[in-house]
Amino acid sequence: MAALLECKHLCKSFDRRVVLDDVSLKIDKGKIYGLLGKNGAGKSTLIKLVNDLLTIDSGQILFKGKPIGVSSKAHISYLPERTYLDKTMTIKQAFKMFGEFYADFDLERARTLLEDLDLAEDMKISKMSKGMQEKLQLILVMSRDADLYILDEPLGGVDPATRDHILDTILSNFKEGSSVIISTHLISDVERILDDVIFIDKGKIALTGSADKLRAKEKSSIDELFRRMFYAKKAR
Amino acid sequence: MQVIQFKFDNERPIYLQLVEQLRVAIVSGAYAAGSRLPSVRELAVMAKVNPNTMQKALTELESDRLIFTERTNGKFVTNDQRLLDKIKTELASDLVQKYTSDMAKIGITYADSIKYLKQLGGQ
Amino acid sequence: MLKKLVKYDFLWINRQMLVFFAITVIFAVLTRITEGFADSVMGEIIYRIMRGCTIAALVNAIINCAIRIWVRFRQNFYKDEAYLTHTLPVSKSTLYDGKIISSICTVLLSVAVVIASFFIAFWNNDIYEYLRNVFKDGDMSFIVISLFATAILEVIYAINVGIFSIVVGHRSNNSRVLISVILGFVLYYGLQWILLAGIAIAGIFDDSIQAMFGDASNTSIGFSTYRTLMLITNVLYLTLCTGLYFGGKKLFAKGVNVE
Repeated sequence: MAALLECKHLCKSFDRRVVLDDVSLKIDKGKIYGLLGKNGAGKSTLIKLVNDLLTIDSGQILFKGKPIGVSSKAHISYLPERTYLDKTMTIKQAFKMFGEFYADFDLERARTLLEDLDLAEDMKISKMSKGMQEKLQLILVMSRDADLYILDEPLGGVDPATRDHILDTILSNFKEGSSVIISTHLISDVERILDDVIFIDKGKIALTGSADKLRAKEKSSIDELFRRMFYAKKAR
Repeated sequence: MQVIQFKFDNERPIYLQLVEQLRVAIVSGAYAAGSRLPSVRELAVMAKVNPNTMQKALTELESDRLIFTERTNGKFVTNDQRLLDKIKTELASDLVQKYTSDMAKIGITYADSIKYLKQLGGQ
Repeated sequence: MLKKLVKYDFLWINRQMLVFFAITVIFAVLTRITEGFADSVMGEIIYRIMRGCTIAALVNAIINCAIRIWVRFRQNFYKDEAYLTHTLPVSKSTLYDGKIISSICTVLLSVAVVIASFFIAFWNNDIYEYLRNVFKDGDMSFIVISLFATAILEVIYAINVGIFSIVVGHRSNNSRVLISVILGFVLYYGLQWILLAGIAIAGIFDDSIQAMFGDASNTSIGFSTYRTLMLITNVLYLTLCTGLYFGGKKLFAKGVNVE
């Protein structure tokens, strides 16, 4: 069976700085992946390549066996770190736009999720706080019945209560049988929802594997394992 | 839907901890014999874990015959009271052993530890 | 999908342009109203001010139209909003086409508003008589219409140069606006030399056009000369626009590097 997403020997440099160095990766159907690495390890670059926001220097990205493009975009739901909505729109207009462009957008689900935020649909996005805008984006992204959800730092800079709410939203809304990639450096907050982990460091894949198997083998949490691998030398 | 509080430490496989805590929930009657369990997804959200991990834990419980699946209706707690009693006894024996061995560690004999239990246990 | 893209883009830009359109029309109406006061000194002064403002607003409407289109292009394709634009299930060439189509529509709308405002402000019997005479004469009307087409093509050309330069300036990973701006100016003037060269080449084959580069009072310059000249100019403009469009689209379709 072809992998849902496959990266083959990806390389990417900015000017002469190598950001991704021969990254190969397989994402299977029906699993939650943690893309874990320090800031600047290459997480966002990898994700941006998969979402066609950067040009590939060398290598290949395949979604369901075909190079990424229009059809992969129709089935990948991506939450970037940025607030990407047109600020002049109202929430209602943003919902409408997603509905018009994405065949898999579920307006009813979006409305239900919006109720939790206690916001009116005719509110302008420019009037919302950055945190609220991020929550709205999460609603838009999780209201799609995508095959792959790619969430870039969904927990960055939010308080613990919001963190729980975000994890709840992700867990209760991703389509059954779909896969999720969560990129984060806040490992302890997400590790228990992960099937598999992908450690990335200095532009290379350092470790991949099942989270529970790693816990059993290393007798430690994923967070601890990560610290041991990438911070130990510094501490000495 | 009966809500259960799950607690985890991240150092042991999550699915094992789920199995343990669900076993307690069933034996204690939080999920009563013969009653229907929440869906995998509901349980996963409740525990804030991955639905796949929850599925794995439930499969384990199913192979222990503590729960069973009815094809269209979902998962149910077993009606087999003998099995429930047996598991309860196992859990109790684990706890007693842990208690007595912990007491032994601080130098209290088995006989004394029963006295302690009688004196302080009711609190 | 193209239709949806054009719709969203056109509405977005023109919601912004609405302010400028409104200003233009309001000044045009004020010019018309104050024209009646022109028999007193104060009235005359007010009228002249209004007239000046109207003309400024007319020019502004066109310039702002181009600037809005460029700014929108950059925001939409290379800044934060790009994270949504490029993840829509639409190909890069369709995105580019959508932008060009909505830009042309916006230019045409702006031109329509400008013409309407001009007539609101300045329409009178003299202009009416003048236009009637022009359009009675086949040659004259051809030249006037051609000139008008040239003006619109010039705006579309400038916008295409801008868009092309933005695409080129943002090819590299650390995109710089400065590259786009400098390239824009260089291209704009550079390509116009090509236009001029094109006309000069035409002069080799047509003596009367050749004559235009020399003595303007040469008697061999007649309507047919202007006719040929206008035709060549417009065809060249159209070719440049098409070239820039295909060039920009091809570069854009190769991929972007969003910050």
